[in-house]
Amino acid sequence: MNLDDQLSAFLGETPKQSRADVFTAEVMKRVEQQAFLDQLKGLVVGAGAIALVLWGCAPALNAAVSAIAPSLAPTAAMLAFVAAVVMAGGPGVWRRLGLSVG
Amino acid sequence: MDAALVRQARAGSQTAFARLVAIHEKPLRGFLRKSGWIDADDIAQEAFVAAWAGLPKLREDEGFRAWLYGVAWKKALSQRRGAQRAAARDEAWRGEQELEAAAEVGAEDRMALEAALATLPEDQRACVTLCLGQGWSHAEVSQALGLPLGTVKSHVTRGRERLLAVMGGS
Repeated sequence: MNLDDQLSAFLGETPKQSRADVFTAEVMKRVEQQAFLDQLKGLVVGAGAIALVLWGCAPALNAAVSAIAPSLAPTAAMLAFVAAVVMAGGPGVWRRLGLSVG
Repeated sequence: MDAALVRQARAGSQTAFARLVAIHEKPLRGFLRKSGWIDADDIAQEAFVAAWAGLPKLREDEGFRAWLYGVAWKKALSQRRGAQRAAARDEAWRGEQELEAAAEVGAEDRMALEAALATLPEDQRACVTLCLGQGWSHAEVSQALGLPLGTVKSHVTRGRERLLAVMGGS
């Protein structure tokens, strides 16, 4: 083996312990967190846009809702139930955000 | 192989990106260590996360490796300019950071090479590590490190001469 080969071997040395699994897991945890936050940002923007549209249509919606309000009561109750379920699933959401719970 | 995985990762596949990480983590960490960065693992990790976020900006799927190393190199340089990291590393962690010693290189030569490598300017050190250690082409190194092709060639030639000069007891 000549000097050039020895030099290449020296310069091409890689970390002793293969921490591939641990390293990849750490990177992917951060990637997942970032992807989730990006998704959350998209949802917030979408929700804002919808809110804006609804606000613009408020006069027409008010008239329509007051006409059908009595029949909407069961739906509203169901939505309240769904919201409660989502809130109960909160810790999972906090964990994905990387925030400690309790 | 990278290109297909990059395409999938760009489409949102975290599994594909995890495979890219597994393929490139070891040589990237080795390169950063040889280039003199103590916190090579942190830099590599940040580079991968930045790469995930920046995948849409990557123009050629085939150029992923050079692009990734470029991201890591910029991270390393900006980290040096910024405040020193506060995190203290314990001995076990330091052990994990050590490199696999190539059997071909004797202890005396190794010490001489490490000392000589440390005296090279950081750009030159990165060029010789990638070209001579990892077999990259001059063009690829030029692209990754953002250096002119002629500079890379001259860095490799001069770096090689300086390193060879300390080997074999000469």
